[in-house]
Amino acid sequence: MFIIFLEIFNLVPSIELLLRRYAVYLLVIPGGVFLALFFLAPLSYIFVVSFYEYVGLKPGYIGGMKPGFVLDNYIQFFSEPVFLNYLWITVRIALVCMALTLVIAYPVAYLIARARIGRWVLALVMVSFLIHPLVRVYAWEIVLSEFGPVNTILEMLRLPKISLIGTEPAIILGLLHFLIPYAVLTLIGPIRRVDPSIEEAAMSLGASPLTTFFKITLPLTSPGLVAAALLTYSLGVTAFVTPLILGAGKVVVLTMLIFDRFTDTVNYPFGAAMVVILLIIGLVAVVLIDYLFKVIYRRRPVWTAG
Amino acid sequence: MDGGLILKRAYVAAFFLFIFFPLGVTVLISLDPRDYVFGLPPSISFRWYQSFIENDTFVNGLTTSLIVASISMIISTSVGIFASYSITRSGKGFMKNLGTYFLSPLLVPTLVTGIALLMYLKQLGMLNSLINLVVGHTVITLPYSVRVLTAVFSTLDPSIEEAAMSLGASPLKVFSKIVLPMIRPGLMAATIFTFSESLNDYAVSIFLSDSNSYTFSVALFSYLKAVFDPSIAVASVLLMAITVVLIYAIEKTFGLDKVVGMW
Repeated sequence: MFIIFLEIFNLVPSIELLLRRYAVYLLVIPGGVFLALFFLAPLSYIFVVSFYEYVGLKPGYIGGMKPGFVLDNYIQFFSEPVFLNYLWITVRIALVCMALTLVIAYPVAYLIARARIGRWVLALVMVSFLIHPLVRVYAWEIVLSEFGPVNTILEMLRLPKISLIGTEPAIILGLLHFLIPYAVLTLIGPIRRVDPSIEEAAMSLGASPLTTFFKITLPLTSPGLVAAALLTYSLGVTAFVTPLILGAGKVVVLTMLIFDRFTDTVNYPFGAAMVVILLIIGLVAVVLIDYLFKVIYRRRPVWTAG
Repeated sequence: MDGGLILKRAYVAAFFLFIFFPLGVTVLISLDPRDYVFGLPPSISFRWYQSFIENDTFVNGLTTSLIVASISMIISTSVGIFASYSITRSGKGFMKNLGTYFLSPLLVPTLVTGIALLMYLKQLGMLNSLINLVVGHTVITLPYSVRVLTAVFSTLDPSIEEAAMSLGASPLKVFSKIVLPMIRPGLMAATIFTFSESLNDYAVSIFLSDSNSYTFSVALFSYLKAVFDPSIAVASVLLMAITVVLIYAIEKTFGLDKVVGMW
């Protein structure tokens, strides 16, 4: 008996050792459980609800949903040309924004990454990146309004006025305002990692600046470019306030339909189905864009650094 | 060569003009005594600042936003410290994947996160909008704190902690006397990140707010949809000022160049 007691007593230090060794694993539990409960579970739930039946707004049915497994919501979406048209508008706006953002942001990121810039330039980029989305939308609403600065300047130049509010270009402008800083910040890092001496070597061997850019700099920074493309596309597809305010109800995108199904014309199952569709068109693009860049850079295996 | 340099500078300047021109216009509108937009303000007035302060919706929203941002900031950073310490210090296969798991809310649009939480919390019968807002904001800010803190922890040498342990310090003491002081700048950055993400969110807030508790973003949103009101410009100026202060704080505590690419 005494010996067993002694044995247990001897075990105490090793238990402590065990605890010390594995305590580090236990620390992950609070956050892990929290995310499982309030992120993974709700996200899975939305997927489940997209197959529920809509029974109208009756007491006892939250959001008019009745558990079950029907494809009605998806069939409804894909059988009506109106919805398909809205889907196309959403994707079109996001694609145009993505292309414009990359073309505009790449040189900005390149110049900032390559130049010996003061901290204030970086600070300005950060400010431009962190400005509240609603502040941007309000600012563009004023800038593009009938008597706003753009039209005042056009009038001074004796040019015809333009009214962009309620059109796709207005939405695209508003989106560019927050997508370009995003892309610039995403691109600065990858561009900085490219050793400038590689570019210099290409130039000294007789490559023109343009050739150097397309054959050296662009391929070497392509991972960053892919990241920026994916980011801007998915932000463009899921943008909500910008299309709502600058589109002034005349341009409808998917997120606005979704918002409506959860606030005004409540229909949770149909809304959930549209959320799933939104996630899928984001995902499809991720795969496509990734594939596209792979193909481009495998066909032209130019210069690979390490 | 010189011409090239001017061209480059002009390009960057044009970029900044595109970004800051609309914001500058907003500042002017906030100082304009008239309640319509037309040319430059004839005189400067603080009339809209007055009406902003007297507006209950804005003041309530701002109060709620500050409360929600502070609480979710505290939860996100403290939970984030443990999680990221765990992830970096036991960096084997499974735990590495846990890093991705903690960043996963970043992959989902906040609009979707908001809707998912709205349905889920309603189904669970959680109807207190203030608590729901805190939960939602913690979900979207936790990845930022984990991202910053894992980066910070991975630069720390674990042998320092081991040395303290082998000299007889308890884990708690090691954490408070060794780890915490070393990660202080990163901790500051994490709090600022999470705070500003919470303040900047509108998508989650729109779905989780109700007439009892609504964030500043939701108050702004309802005004933006309704009418043209220059006190929105005042709210914008306030948010811009907060942004500038937060960025200044990051620069002072952590360094801006280290933050690039972390967001």
